[in-house]
Amino acid sequence: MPFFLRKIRKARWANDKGYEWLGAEDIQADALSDLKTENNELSVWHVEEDESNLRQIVVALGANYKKLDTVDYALVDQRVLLTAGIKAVEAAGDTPYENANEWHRNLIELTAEKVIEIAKNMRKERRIARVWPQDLQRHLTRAIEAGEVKLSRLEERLQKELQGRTL
Amino acid sequence: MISLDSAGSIRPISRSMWCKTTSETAQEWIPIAPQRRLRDKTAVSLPGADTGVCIELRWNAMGSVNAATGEATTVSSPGTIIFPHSALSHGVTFISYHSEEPSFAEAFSCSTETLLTVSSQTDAILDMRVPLSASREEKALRLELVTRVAEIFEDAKEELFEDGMESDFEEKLTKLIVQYERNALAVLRSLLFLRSVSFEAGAEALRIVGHLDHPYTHSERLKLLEECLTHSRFEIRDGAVIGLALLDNPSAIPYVRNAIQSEASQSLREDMAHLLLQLQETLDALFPKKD
Repeated sequence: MPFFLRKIRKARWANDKGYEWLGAEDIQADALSDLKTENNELSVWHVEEDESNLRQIVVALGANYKKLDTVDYALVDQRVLLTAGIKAVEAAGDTPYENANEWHRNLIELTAEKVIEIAKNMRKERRIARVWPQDLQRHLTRAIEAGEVKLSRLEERLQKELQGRTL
Repeated sequence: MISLDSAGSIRPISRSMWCKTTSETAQEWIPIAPQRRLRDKTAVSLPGADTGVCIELRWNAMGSVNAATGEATTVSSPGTIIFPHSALSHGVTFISYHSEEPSFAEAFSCSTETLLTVSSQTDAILDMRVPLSASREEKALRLELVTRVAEIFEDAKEELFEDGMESDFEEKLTKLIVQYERNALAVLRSLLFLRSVSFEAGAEALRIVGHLDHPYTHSERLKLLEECLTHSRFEIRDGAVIGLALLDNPSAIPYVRNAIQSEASQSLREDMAHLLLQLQETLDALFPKKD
């Protein structure tokens, strides 16, 4: 079964921070800021079961950046969310990586309970990862060289960093 | 944090104050503790301070250290000075005292000064390590910067930080670092280590410190990030790891190695190991090994 990818901040989801009040299966309240909805919808990306399009999605996310940074994300099994009654609809992404935009989805008609359900599954599945700035730079450079992303469509600051900075 | 419970009973302050000696041979910072807050007073232990020692106390009431002077206090019991609560609630407080007490004089010379800051928002005492040799202007600048950096962090409470995105916090902090260089970084360090700022914002600050393209402050930013690798809070350590990845200076390798040894969090250890690998690759690229 494929996954949904949600961009997060990894530190908000770590449970081994050494806080006595935070159990191994608990979710910090701050983590919910990574699941901020708009019109009761949540932006996610469709990742194939074999993760064959994961790199492209990471590039799409990075291409929307204003500066080089980490790309932290969580993967959650689509089946689990759909079984819980969470609906997903196709909604083209708005990134400079046009070929990847088709993988964007919105989770819709979300209640607070459903958002918590999403958080619980993200916590349970522990598929949380980080793409480092240096790796993002490599991915973006490759995508630009391959003609997948136009440099001119990136934010000016990011363009400069890709052209002039060696990480 | 200092707080007083409803009954007005004494509650110990969790952090130490530090003072700097003027001794030529012992230029070390030494902890002076404990501090306790009473209903309307704060008691501070200062080494060598004994009955009869005159304490000069000043604070920054209107944004200028020189504009206001505080009241002199005397030691009420050996080694302990009681400050009126009002004296520590006006922003930045500067304390200096002289001691002729033999053991103190022998160990630490005879003059000590300490800077205390009390944030009106958090009621936290901050440690500001300003060299005794610093000029009056530099001391005043540091004190002013404490207020300004604290305000930037206060404003950041309204912001939600997101990877790769810019923020007002970044713009303000960057401007301050570029303008005031090591003084701004010293103040930032104090705020981070005295745990008086939001840790999310603190971690964001370290990303900014690592990302900044400003050669004049490179070595001091590197030092700050290295120090924060062993900070007591996970978020700050994580911010330091990302900041060092952005700075990409292999000089940090020994510090990262040491941090891995002491890191309790498995996920952070893994990130540190990744950082170590990156820095090693950078080092190898700079100095290729000959076959």
